[in-house]
Amino acid sequence: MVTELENLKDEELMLQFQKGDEACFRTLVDRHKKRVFHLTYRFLNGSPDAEDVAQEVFVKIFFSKDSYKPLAKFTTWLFTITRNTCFQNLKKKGKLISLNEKADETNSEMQSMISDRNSENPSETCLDEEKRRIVADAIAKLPETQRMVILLRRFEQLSYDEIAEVLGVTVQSVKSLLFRGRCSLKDLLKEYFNENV
Amino acid sequence: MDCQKCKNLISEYLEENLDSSQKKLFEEHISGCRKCENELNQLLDSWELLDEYSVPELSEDFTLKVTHKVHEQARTNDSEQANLWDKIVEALTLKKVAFLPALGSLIILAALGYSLLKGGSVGINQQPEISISQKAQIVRDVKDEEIIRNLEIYQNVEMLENLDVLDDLETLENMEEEK
Repeated sequence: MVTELENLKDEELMLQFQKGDEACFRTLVDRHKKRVFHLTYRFLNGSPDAEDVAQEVFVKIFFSKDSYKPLAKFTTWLFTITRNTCFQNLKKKGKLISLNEKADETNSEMQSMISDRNSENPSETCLDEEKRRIVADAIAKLPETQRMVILLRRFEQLSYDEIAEVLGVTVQSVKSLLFRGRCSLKDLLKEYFNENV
Repeated sequence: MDCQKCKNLISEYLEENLDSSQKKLFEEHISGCRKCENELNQLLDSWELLDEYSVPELSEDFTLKVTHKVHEQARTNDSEQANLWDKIVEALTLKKVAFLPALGSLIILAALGYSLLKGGSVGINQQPEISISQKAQIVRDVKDEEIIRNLEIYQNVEMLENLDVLDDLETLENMEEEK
């Protein structure tokens, strides 16, 4: 039965779920949980709330199943709800965790990683972690909509049309937001490249 | 192609949206212009560097947690609906009708106050406005009354008491004349 469900497309699963089959809902969660979590984690700058927010997205999917219409791709609807939930979370919390706070957190995370993993090459792990932190900080500095466009394009490989639908803007706006985001990232990461040349 | 034109096309080039002839012109300019080449490389490198943003593993019981949250939310929704219904029922129970006389009085007072402010014809000092036709009727009635009063027979109250209708007065007068 589970295998049968796994063969179904998202839209078909959603239609079955609308008829009351909760197993289809669980299959959708299993299929998309990583993508949703990756987006919430990166958008919320590695906030500890990221997993809760991702769970909230699926809870919303469950209770708004009747509003789903199979005209658009399921993932477009899913990412629209994810975007709304992320934005609501930011509003609720005021602003992102301050970068200093985040950096402190990341440093302690990094130290525990080094001691826990018994890595053969701690300096390499440290360097990777530093790169990760630099990129995370650069993304966190982007305005919210620009950040969302960058994440949807770079990590989720959504098309311009899909991003436009998720954000409720025109394709031209998406192109413009994307390019401005790329230029900002280039400027923010310039220091890293200068140090490593 | 000049640097400005190259700058305008850089976004489309990065997204691989240029046609083959535009792409060729763009790449020709880049290979001969150090400044534009640097700009392009920095954009490409920073985009590439985003790969470093790894994400930790998701907890294994993620789906289970979602299911729990869904059921919890469903229970909350049900109890909220039940609470709403309870409140409606409670509001309508006899225990809560003590305020009704007060509410009724308040409504009456408000209506009375409104009427007074509006200048409605509820006061004893104000008489309803009389139309022209009604005035004519009254005048006629007054004339009739004068006629009646002028009748000699009308002076005699005792006789009048035995009469039922005014129409008979004329007959009585005639009778009097005949006498």
